[in-house]
Amino acid sequence: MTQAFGLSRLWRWLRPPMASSALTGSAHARAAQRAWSIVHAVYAYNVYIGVTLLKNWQRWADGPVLDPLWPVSWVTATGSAAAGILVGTAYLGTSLLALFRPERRGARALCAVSALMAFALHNSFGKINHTYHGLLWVLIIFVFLPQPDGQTHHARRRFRQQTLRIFWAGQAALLMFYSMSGALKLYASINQMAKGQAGFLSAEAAARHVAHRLLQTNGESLLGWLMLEHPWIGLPTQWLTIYLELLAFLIAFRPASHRLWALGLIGMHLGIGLFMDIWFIHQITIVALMLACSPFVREDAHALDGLRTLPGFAWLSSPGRQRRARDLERPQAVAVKE
Amino acid sequence: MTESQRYLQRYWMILAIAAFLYVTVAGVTLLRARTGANTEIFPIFSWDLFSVVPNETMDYGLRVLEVDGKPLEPPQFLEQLTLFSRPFRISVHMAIQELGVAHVRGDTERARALAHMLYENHLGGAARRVRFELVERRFDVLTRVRSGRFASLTPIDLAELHP
Repeated sequence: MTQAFGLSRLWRWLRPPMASSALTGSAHARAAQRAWSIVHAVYAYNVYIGVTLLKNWQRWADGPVLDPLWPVSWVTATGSAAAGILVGTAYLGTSLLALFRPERRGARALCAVSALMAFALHNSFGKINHTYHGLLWVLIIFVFLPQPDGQTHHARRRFRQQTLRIFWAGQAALLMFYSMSGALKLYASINQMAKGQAGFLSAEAAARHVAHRLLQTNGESLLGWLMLEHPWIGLPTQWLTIYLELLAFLIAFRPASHRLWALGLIGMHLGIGLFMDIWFIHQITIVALMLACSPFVREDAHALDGLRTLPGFAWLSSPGRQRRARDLERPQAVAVKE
Repeated sequence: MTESQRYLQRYWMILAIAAFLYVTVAGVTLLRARTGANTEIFPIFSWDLFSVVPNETMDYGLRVLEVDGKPLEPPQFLEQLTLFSRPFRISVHMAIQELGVAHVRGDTERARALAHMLYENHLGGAARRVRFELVERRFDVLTRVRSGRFASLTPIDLAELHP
């Protein structure tokens, strides 16, 4: 019956993912399995965002004037109401598809393309916000995750290793964005201080950013008043921000520090939210998923292992312990023996 | 060289090229953005967030003179008016800045499109006709947030927002 309608093929396609998992045995196999669990979680989070965008359908239906970005340049022909509902539905549908079959490259590619259009439409009203950018790049990189291509020992091992490498590329991209931001802060700070102005490393920098933001919106933030009354409290947070952002890319190569760095980045985003009322909600979530749940952290890792491999904290540990911490499941150390 | 070594070499090369291209495009858009134009190529972004600390700052503001034919005494900046939603949306602030840049550049078509978008998306529900002047404002952020004082206010254009 099902065969008659081609439903068996559809059922095979929609079968619970990783049912015939090749991931058993070694630590690398467990790491790859954890990576696929996080891939699932990322697509589940996309379903949540898709539902949220559709829930706000009234915004599109009201027909706001658009300043369309290139992925949705066609909306001038359809109008925002039709485009919003079309893109929102496509994004939710493809997120569901990728959630059920994440190992299908086609499903992941469709999800990435529809996310690109949905986020572009969301940013097509005169200002580009950057809370979705990290998530979008992770989705684009996930398109390159491998598809299971056989049950031989060699094929399974290659599948696991390609999984870990592409997953690592997603982590590295996120961390590279932070490093770009940190490098620009340091450059601008040196530039401004050389001109006799307050730069990002000056005592008043955080207070000035808070003041500027609150003036732009004539708004309030939970703790903005505290920063404005006592500007000096911003100084340690500014130095910590430079440290966290500038050196973030290095952390991609130090898996033992992934969780600790994620905690730092999430804390930084929370601070920005509390003081400036700018909430990078989706960035916090993607950092939590990709780094706080990093599959490269050894299961038996001690909390201090992360601290020992932080740039500048090597003195905390003996050379032997440093080596052990550095060697925690490096993605590039995973090699196939022919 | 084994198959896996070749794969690994290709993998690193592709990653390095992709990262280089991303940083290059983001850097070029950042340099062009310094001229005042919005040149961001979505979804590539330079991640230039909060790097320049506002000291003596210049921005553009819409000082509202009349709402639906009723003069405001004294005239107030759009973000201070309780008539419109609070907190003021950052997208409105950014649209006003782009409007100012377009006006100063003499790009009347872009300025008209931005004014239309401002009215339709953010003000239309609150008023039928808003008469305003576009003002160049110079201020120190900490002085302004503590005392409300500007270093200078220079009106540069007079206009109306309407359906």
